[in-house]
Amino acid sequence: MEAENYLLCVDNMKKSFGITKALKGVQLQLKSGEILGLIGENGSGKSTLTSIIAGIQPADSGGILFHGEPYSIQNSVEANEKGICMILQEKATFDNLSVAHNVFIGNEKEFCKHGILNNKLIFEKAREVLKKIGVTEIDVKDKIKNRSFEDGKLVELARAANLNPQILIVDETTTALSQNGRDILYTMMENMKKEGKSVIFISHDIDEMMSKCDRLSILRDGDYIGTLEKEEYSPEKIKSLMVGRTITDNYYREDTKSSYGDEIVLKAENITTSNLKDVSFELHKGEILGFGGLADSGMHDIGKAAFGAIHIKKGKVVDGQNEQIYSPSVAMKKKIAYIGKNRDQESLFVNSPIRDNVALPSYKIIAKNTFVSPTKERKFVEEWTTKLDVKMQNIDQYVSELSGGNKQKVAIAKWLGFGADIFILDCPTRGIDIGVKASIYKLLTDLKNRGKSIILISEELPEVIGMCDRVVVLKNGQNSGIFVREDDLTENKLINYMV
Amino acid sequence: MDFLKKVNFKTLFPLLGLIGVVLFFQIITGGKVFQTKNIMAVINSSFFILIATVAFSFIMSVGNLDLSMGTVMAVSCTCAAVVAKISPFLALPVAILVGGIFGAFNGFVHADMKLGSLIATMTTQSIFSGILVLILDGGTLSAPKYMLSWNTMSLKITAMLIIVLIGIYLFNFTAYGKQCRAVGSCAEAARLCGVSVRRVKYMTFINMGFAMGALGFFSLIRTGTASATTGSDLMMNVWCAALLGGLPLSGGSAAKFRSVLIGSFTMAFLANGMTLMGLLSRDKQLIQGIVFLIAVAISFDRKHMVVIK
Amino acid sequence: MKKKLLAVIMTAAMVVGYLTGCGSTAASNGTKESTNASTTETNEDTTVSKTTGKSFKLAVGLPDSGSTMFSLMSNNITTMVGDMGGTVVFQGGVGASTDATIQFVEDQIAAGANGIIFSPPSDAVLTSVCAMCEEAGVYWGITFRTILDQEVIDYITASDYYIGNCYEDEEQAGYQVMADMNERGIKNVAIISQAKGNTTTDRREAGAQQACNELGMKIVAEARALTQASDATKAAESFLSAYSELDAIFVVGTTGAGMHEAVAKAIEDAGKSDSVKLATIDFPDTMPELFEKDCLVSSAGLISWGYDPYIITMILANQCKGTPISEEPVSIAFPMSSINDIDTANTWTERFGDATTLYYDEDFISSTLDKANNPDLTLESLIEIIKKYTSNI
Repeated sequence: MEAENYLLCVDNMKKSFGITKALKGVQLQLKSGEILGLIGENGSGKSTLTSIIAGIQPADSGGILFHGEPYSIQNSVEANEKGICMILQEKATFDNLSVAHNVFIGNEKEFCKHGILNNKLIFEKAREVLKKIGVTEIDVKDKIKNRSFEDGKLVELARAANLNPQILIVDETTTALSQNGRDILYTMMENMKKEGKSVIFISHDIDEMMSKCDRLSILRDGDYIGTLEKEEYSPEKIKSLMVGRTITDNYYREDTKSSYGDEIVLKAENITTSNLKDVSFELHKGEILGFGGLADSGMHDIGKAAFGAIHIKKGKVVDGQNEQIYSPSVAMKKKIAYIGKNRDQESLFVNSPIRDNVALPSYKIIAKNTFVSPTKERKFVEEWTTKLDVKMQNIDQYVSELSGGNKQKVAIAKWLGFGADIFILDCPTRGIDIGVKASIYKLLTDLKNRGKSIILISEELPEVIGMCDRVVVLKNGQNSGIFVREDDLTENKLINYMV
Repeated sequence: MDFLKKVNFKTLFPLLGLIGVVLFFQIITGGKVFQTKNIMAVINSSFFILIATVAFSFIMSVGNLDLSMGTVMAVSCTCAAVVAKISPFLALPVAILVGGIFGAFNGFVHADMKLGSLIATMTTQSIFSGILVLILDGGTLSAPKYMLSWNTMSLKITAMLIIVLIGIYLFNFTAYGKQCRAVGSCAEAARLCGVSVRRVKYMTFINMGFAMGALGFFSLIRTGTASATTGSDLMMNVWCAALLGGLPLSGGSAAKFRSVLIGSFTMAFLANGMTLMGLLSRDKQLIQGIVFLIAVAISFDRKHMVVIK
Repeated sequence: MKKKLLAVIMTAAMVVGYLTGCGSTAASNGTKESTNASTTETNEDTTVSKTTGKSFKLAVGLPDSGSTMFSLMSNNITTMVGDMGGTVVFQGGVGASTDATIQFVEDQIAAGANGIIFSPPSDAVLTSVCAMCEEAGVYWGITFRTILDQEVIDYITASDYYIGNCYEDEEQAGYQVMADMNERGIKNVAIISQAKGNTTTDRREAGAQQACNELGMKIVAEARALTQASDATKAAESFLSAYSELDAIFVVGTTGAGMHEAVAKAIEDAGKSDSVKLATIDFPDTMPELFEKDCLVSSAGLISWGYDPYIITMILANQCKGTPISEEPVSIAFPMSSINDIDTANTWTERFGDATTLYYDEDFISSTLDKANNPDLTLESLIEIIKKYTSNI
């Protein structure tokens, strides 16, 4: 192997979490002065691989050569010292520290004299570093908790820039950034490239990857699939390599006409919550009602309000019989189901077995005079997990060991088993790979055809347009437009009402 | 090999601990542990711990703690002693009722006033002991003498069996038990699954109160007295039993009912074995502490915990 | 998986090895330990042959453990019981609550004790203990506390297994200290005591009150339920500033450590060392120093704290050997003596500051206190022995 030609060379790396094999012998080569894209579906091992390189976790086996030398580190501080730096997907700033202190976290020594931190100097330097990467509007004395998530990410960029690394790893950061923030990141990456340094760039946005990266390495289910040179790029090719089969774009509903029954099954009358102002809507039998908008448009409150899970200040939510829904247990009596946006915190018990997760809403159905028979419970859970094709060892496996898509299937299985008539789904395909996504869309169509009603709240416009009979667009907590399903409903049309 | 795969060894340590303790004392005391008289003494001393731990396991599976249990027991005991002067047959129902009311108050402070269970029961503990001192007026109350004759082994064993069976049923075979663990795993997710978190929390504290009421009654017929010190060492023993048995402090589905039995009997055999050996009380405390530390250190699941609380 | 299996096998092997290994070493350990707490099994055989009567096992449960006083007491009792051919175990924390007391009795019965001595937290608990001991055929007696409830007294004295009670005469102590102060010309006294309702200090105060009435003294102020030395300082300071006629501060009873010293310091700081004196019940640790400063004028106490449990255990031991001293349950009040000068205080500290001091030597125990060897020992002669000892500070 011509390892010497590469700046970084990963060979046959393996890593397991419990029984889940995250990496099954992956290789990766990074040249000096290039931007290498790393692409793959959720759970394909991108983040695992890069976090091992950045010293955040150890590998089970496999070697890394850095500058042609074996590279072994214990933690991310050592990685930083060697010149490898990573921007994480998650938040990596400290809320109660100022922007400046966050920029220099771990390097305060430079500003210390006799053990006393020179804050003035730290603020000054921070301003300098931020300015260098093109950020001017952030006050360095401000606490991070008073800044937005995006600003936090920019601070992390500044932190990385200050370390001046040989290799910068950027993991799924662009989704959190505005166009301006992205430009800052892109410039930084280009500059590094010019200086002969390298970047490993991870993003789900195939267009972005194709335009920014010099080469693309593809991972699938913990396997290394291959690397494409710039001239080999095509979206179809990348997608099919990612999922291992050819994927057509059309996994949404096939019909293009709106269709639903006359009967109203759920109605919101002028509801006002902390994020919503005077919103009304009606849900019909057999309808998929979509809600779209920006993340802070208040649309996530719609689901919770309809399920009785948050306090409604004014107005009310009623069912078809005009009975008010004021708590989740009342909602469930009306056979309403809710799957929240934060899957691991709201709709699942990750540290519990699948069995407990699926059976929880349905004990009333399973129990006979308060007695919950373990056999009956097992049959019930097995029936619904099989129907949804959840990939698991057995029903006693912990949910935390499942992949994102399978977790979501467990969450859906629990409500299907419960026999819900109305499904409120908040971002049901968030962070789920294309395969499971497609099967969820198919399921939604089936449910609709069986006369169930669905409220679909999503930050992804194509999904809302592709699936819904009607789409409500929210802006600043208010209803800014309702659109009925038709052929020429496009994203651009909706976006005008969103911003 | 196949069955070994299924066994999580961490969960076995409490059981091995119990077997270890029993064997150790059996050998060291030259076989005194399994004499009938001694087994009776073990059952006797496990009686209070076991019943309290049965009820406490529900509170723990919700992820809560209770600091007030001993005081609730003392108040119930005192009220039982008061009504026993009217009619001894009122003692048990009144004790249970009083326990339930005080338990409900705990539930109110925790679930409705939204105070963490530790703080909530710390304050109520203080309030309850104030009430206790008021009723007792600085002295002690005694039960009619013939009530002492109710304190028989057969009654105790019957009571223990009934309460343990109820505990097993509620814990493993009803929605209530499963909902407790769901709330302990993730209260928000439980709420969004239609579990009334408030009701579950109330129930656990009320059930604890009922158990404490019953124990208050048994304490009365055992000691013949109700005093401010009644039940004062119960809480530590119950906490120790629960943790020795392997009930997780964080609650959730890792809570298993067998922990209750294993923990209670480990505590009982440990205390009994040291008495049989004729150890001084200060040595006992030291040994108890060390055993406790080892057991908890081995069986505690630190992996799933971000911060050790 | 294999690793796990291996781990289990290893653990099992370790546990088995540990247990079997420990079985033998612990047996010898056990004997070693019991030399501290009781006589060894082998010793017992020789003592049995030396004395007559059967072997027996006693248990003594008292509220605290670990102090010099406790060690002095346990050494003495261990020696005495050993000389008489028995073994004894001690447990602390027993009188603290009814639960702990009952648990102690249950445990000791299960462990095969022939006799039990404890200090009860309340009268009512005695009824339950009485029933349990009767059922198990175990002799029992109490120490440190008097029984006030006549109903309870009637109930337990009717039992064949109750052997009696040894306690201190608190009233007499309260009176004695006041009388001592009167001799020094002290008239106006402030007291520091426990909360009302505490039987011990209530009775001490009753004695003090009697002295006031008879000797024309006056209690001018009181402070109660102090738990820390700093509380005592505050109380003393307020006494000193508020009552100019004050002659002495009398510490009737406390639970905290260093109370006496704190009061003495407060008097000294106020510059009233000449006019205001200190008196106490229960000998303070720093008694000689306090006398030296001419602060303390009188301190009353039982000659040694462990002496009354010692005597009741001796009576119990005789009972267990089948040679009872008295057919009826005994009730012996031990007179408290007072110490008024530094020489006596020094002598006392020399004698009882050391945990190895023996109340009676081996010869005396086997020749006089063991009724099997001394058939002439009766309740009357025993009381004479006690009087002789307690008056001899």
